[in-house]
Amino acid sequence: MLRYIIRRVLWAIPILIGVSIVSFFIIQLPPGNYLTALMASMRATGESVDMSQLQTLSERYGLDEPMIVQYWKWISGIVLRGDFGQSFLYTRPVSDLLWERLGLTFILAFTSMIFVWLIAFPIGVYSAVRKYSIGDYVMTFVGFIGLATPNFLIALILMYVSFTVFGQSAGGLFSPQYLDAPWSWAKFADMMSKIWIPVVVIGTAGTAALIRIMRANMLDELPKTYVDAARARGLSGAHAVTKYPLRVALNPFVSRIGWELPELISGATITAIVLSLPTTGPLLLEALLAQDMYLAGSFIMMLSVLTVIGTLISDLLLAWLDPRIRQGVVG
Amino acid sequence: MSRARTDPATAEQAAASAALGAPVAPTRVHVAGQWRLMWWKFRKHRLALWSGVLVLLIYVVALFAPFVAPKDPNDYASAYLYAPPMPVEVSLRGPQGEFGLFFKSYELTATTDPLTLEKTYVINRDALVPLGFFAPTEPYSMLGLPMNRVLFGPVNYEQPFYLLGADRLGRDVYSRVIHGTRVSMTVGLVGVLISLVLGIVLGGISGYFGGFVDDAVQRTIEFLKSIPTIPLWMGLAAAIPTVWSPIAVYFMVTVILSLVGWTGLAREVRGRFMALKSEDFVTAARLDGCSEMRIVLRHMVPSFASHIIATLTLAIPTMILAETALSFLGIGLRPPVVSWGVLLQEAQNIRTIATAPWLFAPGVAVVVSVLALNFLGDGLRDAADPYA
Amino acid sequence: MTRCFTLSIALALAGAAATAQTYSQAPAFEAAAEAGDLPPVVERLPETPMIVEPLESIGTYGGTWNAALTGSGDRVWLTRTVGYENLVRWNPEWTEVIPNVARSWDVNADGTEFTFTLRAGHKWSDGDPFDTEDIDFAWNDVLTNPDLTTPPSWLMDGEQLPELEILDETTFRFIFREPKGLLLDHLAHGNADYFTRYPAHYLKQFHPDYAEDIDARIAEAGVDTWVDLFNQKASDVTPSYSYRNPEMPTLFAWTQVTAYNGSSPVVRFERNPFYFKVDPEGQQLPYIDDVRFQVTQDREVTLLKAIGGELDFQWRRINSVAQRPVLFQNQEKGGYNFHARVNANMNEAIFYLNLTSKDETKRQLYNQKDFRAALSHAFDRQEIIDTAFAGLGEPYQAAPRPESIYYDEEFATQFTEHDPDRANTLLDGLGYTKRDARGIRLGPDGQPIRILLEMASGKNFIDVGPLMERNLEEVGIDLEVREIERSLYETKQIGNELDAGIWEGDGGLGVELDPRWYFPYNWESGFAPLWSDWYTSGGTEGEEPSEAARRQMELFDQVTAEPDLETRQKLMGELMDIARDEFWAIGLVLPAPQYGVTNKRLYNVPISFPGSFPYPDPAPVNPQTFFYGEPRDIEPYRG
Repeated sequence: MLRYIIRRVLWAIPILIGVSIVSFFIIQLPPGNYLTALMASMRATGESVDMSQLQTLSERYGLDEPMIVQYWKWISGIVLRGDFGQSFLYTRPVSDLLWERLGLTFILAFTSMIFVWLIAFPIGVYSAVRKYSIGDYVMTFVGFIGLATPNFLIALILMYVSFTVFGQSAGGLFSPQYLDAPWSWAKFADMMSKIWIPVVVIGTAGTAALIRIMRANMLDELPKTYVDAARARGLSGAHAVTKYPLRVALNPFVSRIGWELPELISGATITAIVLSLPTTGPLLLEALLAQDMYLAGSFIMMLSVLTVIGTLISDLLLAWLDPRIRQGVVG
Repeated sequence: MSRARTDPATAEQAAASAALGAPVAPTRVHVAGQWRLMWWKFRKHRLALWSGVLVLLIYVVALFAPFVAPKDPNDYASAYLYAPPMPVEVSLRGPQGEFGLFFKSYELTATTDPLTLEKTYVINRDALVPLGFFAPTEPYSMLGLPMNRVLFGPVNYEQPFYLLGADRLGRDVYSRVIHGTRVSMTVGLVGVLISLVLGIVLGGISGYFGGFVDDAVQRTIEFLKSIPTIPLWMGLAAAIPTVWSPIAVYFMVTVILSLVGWTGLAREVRGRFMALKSEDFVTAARLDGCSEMRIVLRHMVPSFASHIIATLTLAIPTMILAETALSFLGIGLRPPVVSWGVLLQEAQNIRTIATAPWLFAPGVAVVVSVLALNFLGDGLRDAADPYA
Repeated sequence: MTRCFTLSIALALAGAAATAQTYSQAPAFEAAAEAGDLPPVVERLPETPMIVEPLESIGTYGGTWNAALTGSGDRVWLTRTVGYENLVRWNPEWTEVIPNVARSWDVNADGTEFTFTLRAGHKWSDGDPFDTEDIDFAWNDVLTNPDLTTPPSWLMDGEQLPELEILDETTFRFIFREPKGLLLDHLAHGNADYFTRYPAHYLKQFHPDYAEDIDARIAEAGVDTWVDLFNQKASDVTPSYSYRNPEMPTLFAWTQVTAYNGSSPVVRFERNPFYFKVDPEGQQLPYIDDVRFQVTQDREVTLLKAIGGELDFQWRRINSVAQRPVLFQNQEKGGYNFHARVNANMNEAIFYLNLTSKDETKRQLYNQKDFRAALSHAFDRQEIIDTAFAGLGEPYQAAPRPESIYYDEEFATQFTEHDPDRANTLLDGLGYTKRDARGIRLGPDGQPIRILLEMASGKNFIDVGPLMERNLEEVGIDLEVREIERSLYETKQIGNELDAGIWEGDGGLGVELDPRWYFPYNWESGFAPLWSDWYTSGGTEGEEPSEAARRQMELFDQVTAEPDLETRQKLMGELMDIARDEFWAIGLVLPAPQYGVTNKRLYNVPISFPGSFPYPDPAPVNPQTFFYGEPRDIEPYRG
């Protein structure tokens, strides 16, 4: 087991180096740089653009230097000093910007995850046990609608409905009066009354995948002899299903948790933009559009690190659950 | 289930009892080939079956889009900005009183509030729009063939016909959705094909050889997966030269989508290879002295082809949705290309919800086709294990 | 459209000394002053406060102004609402420059020396005096410090720096070698806050010439260089004021409480106890207590907030033609009236061919005026207006607006009627009579004439593309339309890589400040990038322009130097005549007024005002005098 872990951790190093290079270069792929993006946005707002003033910005940010030099500046800051650089857009440290938004991002992600599980479990189990019944079709259909509808579309429609029908303030997670108020029960209650829109949008998109996994796992387990044995011992139908097969079918779920890590941060970017949520997703998109390279680069880098760690956790969990894997029988 | 009258039910029972090791007399199921077994099984998944028919229909529409769409998708009309869907009436009496099946609609007359700019349309009962099948149009070419008729449209081509209303430039939403089918449904298909080649080759190599090769491929996949999708899309999409024709851009977009998509497929293929390598029939083939190539192509590939098909079917809807997401972000396809994503991006605003909900018709098209492909894929996957 | 703005705003009686005036203040300050937490109002105001005549009536204190910022790049909305406190400002009618932070100014007869007098006793929002020390700091330590920035080109003395002379605590003088006829106009521009945004007493802590502990401060702030530190503390020196550091004292009517840097979903401003303006009764302005900007990510959300009645005064991001029906439908629900912005642009969309194209054939083709005139006749502007602009606007060339003193009917309407026959005749006359199988004319090189029009995505004019395509096909010219990303568009325009482009027509009013469409003035004159390079670089870069363009450049140099208004306008008129004759770019549609929302309870808001950035509306109509009263209904301005 120890050897397996060491091997996996060692593999993570070249991947991270590769990711840091690729993520830095990906954000440089679009033509132009931060200054041209800035110029475009200034022009769009009618501001006059003074070229010579922009030139001082270019020198200050080192945008004229070769890409390798810029990369080294960035990566050495991260590795040697834990400094993720400054955002051009906000003229603030990248890490501050991310930290501020992580709280709400996590709240939203966990709420959505619970929502997804609450829906996906019963549907998955039911549709496995009652395969090809009307109930199976109807429930799978409902579960899949969320997957089939583009998120930005549901988000906009739900927002409009909540605005016109329930009279809620559009967008965000709070009503205007609570936006800059300190945390209180009233503020929490207000958030709860608004969080359902993003939770439903993000959640419904994820249910289908889980229903499918749940159903497949259950279908794998149900025909096994131990279920028959349980039935033979006199366990009721429902009990026979929940006691053993469900537990076994849950294993792959546990191992998926690792994969959810990066999703927690980057997931639902599009939904967050439409709904004006103060989460990390819109920040990432904004950074990419404005070619704010340190913000975007560090952001991508963090997500990638989380993915690598998540995969590692998943694999280790799997290995721990299934001895065959750690012995290298199945990879 | 046991009450079903059809053969597959017997087949399943037989298969089940075979699995339990009970001695049974050879039945049809024992001699039926793999594909036949799959078909029997697939047939039982009613939803999948009907979804399959629907998917086929959608691709037929895509193929014959210019014929199915009554109007040119880029034809604008200032008199019909944001016009609602026109009512279609069916009668059994023709204009001269003759019997038959006749369709008609009426032109709409707009009034615009000069201040609010709101348009109100009333049906103009005096301006009849006779409709009919195989209505004549301006000449166009489809699949290289010169054509001058459309499936269903106004008998007089000059007349307006808005089955699903009009968009902000007075373009026919119905025709645009039909034409969008072409791009949107094929983006998925082409993207999946590219993924398939990459996935099978790399996944196969990885799964068959194992060891260091496997490790390397697996880490490459991990590497690609660890780059977040949106930045990857944006970076690549923005790097497409703008002088390229829309077709080339379209192709690049599919390649970008498949770059993200092939990794899942490769994992699947590899898993199958791993499992099959130790199967008895592969060992048997090897002992028979078959070459490695022959083992792979003749024995292993067919045995997991069904799984691959199922996985592919499930990958297409993902790509369709990815195309809409790319367009929403403004980095995918761009007008004048007509795709569902482009159409939805144009409809993504409060004005549309409040005053012109018919502009979400492409959304319905996306939902229907993605659902259909998903159910089809699920059915195929269930069927891919015919003995289960 | 009437020929002049129906602005019924009384002139701000700027600089007039209040005699034997007693001053009063907001209730909250009253209490604080009595408790001794604040100095009395008389001491907080300068000796000669600026008296602002309200539009309708003297107001009462109180209330919050709610507005919205969309995304992180919306700082101009802050400048337009709270941040416009330059040395001088535009009067509400946008007809002349009036005093603001500077109490008065004096220009010598040559137009080379500008002497400004500040208000004695004027204070920053932290109570520290604002005087020529701040001007000195702004000029010598910030604007002319090459590590930080460079002065804007209009403040330069040719290639050199002008001389700043500090006369006493309240007077300073700029001395140029060449006359600077447009200096005051430029100083009133929405971006020209260069002398009133750097509080020396605060910023010296972060400047290496003054701070001994600069290294410690750099380390403390977690930045690499003093330049980063200074930018952080000064809310960015370049490209413009970014509202990121609420700690820095300002001269605004409301001072900032929360930063606009992504850290808070609300950017809040509250009343500045040291604000230097009063109403005619001596009440210290502003009337409204505080201003709250919600930060949204998406303009649709901003629109929903407007129709939900959450925004009290806002036009930004909610005034497109497409959004209008929704805004009007929900008027009752949201409880708002409308104010109109008479767009200062003279065009919704100007179609321009690259006259300095890299392609020799294209260049030959495009430089023929008849060719451009033919294209202009080919466009069916009424159809474009009806289809792409909801029937609003009128056919118009890239010429000054009807309200402008440079209005020239011929310039504005030449070649605007839709006349394909005339277009065909013109093209035939140029000799392009042969056509290919598709009916496309063959150009000088025997190839079909094909124009590649690239459009920046997300702009209002994006829908004209397909319409123009069809119009040109009718006269045998192949127009191919591509949508590209906005910043890529800029890059291509600067790099002379566009074949043809389209952009809004800035400079319909305030022509001298933004003449980009009338001659190759700067890189934004997309019709001749190499010529404008030649002009801005003083002849070292780009390419020597045509004779007519060179004559225009000479004229404009004279315009910027000429101190006498009448002569200046004559010279500019001459330049405009050449612009008309040369017909550089093809205009399509004169914009109609846009609408924003005003809370029904908000008073002193004009029902219509000009809209542009050089005149950063609504700031020139004095938002400090807005106040809340009884709700009322106002008929929207109809133009």
